[in-house]
Amino acid sequence: MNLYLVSRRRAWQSEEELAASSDCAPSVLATFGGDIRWVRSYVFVEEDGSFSADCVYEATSIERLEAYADAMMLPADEIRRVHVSAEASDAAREGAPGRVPDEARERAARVVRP
Amino acid sequence: MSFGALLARRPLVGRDAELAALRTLHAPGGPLVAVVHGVAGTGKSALLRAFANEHDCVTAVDGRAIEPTPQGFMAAAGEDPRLLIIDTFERLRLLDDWLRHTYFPSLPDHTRIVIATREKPGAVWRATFGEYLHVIGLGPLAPADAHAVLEQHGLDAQQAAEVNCFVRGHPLSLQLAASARREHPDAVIPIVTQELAALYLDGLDAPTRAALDHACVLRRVTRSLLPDGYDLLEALPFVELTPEGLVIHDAVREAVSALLRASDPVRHRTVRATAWRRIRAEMPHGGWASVADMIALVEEPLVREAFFPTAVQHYAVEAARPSDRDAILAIVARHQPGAVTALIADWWDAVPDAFRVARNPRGIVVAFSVLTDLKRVPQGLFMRDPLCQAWREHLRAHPVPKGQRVLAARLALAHGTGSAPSPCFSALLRDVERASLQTGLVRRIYSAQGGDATDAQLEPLGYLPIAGGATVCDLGPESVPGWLSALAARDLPVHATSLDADARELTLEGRTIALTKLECDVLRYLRDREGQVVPRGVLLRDVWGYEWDGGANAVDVAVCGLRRKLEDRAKALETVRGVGFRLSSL
Repeated sequence: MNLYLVSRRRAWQSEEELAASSDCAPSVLATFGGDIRWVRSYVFVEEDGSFSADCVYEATSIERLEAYADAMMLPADEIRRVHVSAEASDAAREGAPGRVPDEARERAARVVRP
Repeated sequence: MSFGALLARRPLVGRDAELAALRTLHAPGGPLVAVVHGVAGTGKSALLRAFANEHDCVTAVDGRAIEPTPQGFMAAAGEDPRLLIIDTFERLRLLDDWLRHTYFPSLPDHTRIVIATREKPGAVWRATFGEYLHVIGLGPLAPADAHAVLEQHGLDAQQAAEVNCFVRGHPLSLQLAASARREHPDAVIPIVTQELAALYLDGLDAPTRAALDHACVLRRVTRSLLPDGYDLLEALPFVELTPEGLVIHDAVREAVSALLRASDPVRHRTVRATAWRRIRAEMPHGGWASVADMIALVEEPLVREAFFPTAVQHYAVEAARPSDRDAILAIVARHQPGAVTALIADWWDAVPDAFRVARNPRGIVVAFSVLTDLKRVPQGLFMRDPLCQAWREHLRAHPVPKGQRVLAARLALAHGTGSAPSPCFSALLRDVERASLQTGLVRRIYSAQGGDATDAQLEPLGYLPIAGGATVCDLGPESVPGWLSALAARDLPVHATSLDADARELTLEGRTIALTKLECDVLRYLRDREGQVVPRGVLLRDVWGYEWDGGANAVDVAVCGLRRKLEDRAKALETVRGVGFRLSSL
């Protein structure tokens, strides 16, 4: 399984549509036999009131993600495979300069290879 | 005094903005339809009453109190209401499609409509009415308004503030808190705030509390359904008198029922069993109201949710429009390309009104189903479709008595999941269940096997696989009422009537009665034609056979023996003088 970021631009016209989509997603994912795992989505409101999202998935291939988008009747404007992800440590989240011990600062950014 | 009377007398506090929004219905170019939505007990009905009080000519329809059919609605609302107010709209989900597409468009242009419902209307409503729809969300009362309500009921400012810390502006809870405070003036307010429900409910005398437990498994309370408790309940502050009987406020009913189920499950079952017996006794003459009472007792989610949905419904299910053809066939092609797609195109051409669609909030078709009376399928299509052949084989082996209907649920598919369970697919299945239950005298529903998960979902409803990839659900000789009664009785300590022809045994109220072969055959024949008069000669011909020459007296001997064994239910098997016999529900 690789990590992917899928961009869906102006995919939903209303909050109800967004809610219906989220409601349906687990059932549709279940038909993909474990080839796709939905990790998280970040939803944005566009100026025209529609909604876009950047969605993170674990998947076996881009083709499976395209098939999933088709099943969900959602656009997949861009599908990018994640190379590495960097996560802030607790210390980095909280720490102002000088407050964070050197050792913690060294661990501030944890690089995760998917 | 009833809850309704209390509310009507009470000044409406904290809803000025919402009332002003409703008044825009009369502004030039204003909306035609206003929908007030909010959770149970949030004061929707009170707002509607206050608005109605500003008008002389109001037609009020309560969704709980009418038959949810176009005829039932028309009888309550008429053809030319000036201001039509529909409360508890969530109970009229069955009519959503008809109201939006047929009834509302038929009203004169001076009519204005106000609807109160639990859920915010979806995009389908916005698409239908556009700028003519005004949606008004009803949240909790602002703290100052909540304090004002409590102070009107005699609480001082400090007590009101303490109570509102707990109920947080929820209007029904404010009402209960005020009532609890009146009934228990010496109660310590912190206890009221912490144990509001317990204080009020446990403070009731034992017979009233017991009556409330019995009432909370019922959809409505009539004197016949709750003979010992009706008068006791009538005076409670959260009970309303409707044309169908007493209705306990949903929020209280659900809470009391859940409390009883959790704290004393055995008694909860006993209470439900008592309700089952009383509803069952009313069913032969109770019409739709009794069927709805029984549905409320059914715990099977697919049936219960079809009529009394608890979750937000994202998908609108309605009759397919001519423009939906391509979308429907695209869904079929996606999951069952080739021959099936071609067959479904033929079904569309032959019986387009059998197609129902589920639309997402944008109005896009995401799923569809095909349901029709088997007799409406044209002969040519019937011969071409292998599934119809499987149904025909079964029907030949197990014929349905004359006058009873057979439905064909040919296919249901969702774009994303095919026939696997999903929210939009479930919405369609519920719609199929609703349609089947509303169709009179249905004996059997034929369908197609839909994969393990869907078949497992339908199996508890009585759908069984048959040859040729088909399934069948036989509702039994009593049609929908009998089938619903059996579903509701499944986990209850009641004994449904059953006839085991192989063992020649009749089970009646838990009593097993041994029958002779002839008695068993006669009873089975009459049960298959329950409620119909069976002529003596027909009974003789079909049970005894053409070659019988022992005289018509044989019928009387067998019927007499059956009546003796039925004991106190003997009246169910009546003689229709000069014609034959009729069996009513055992």
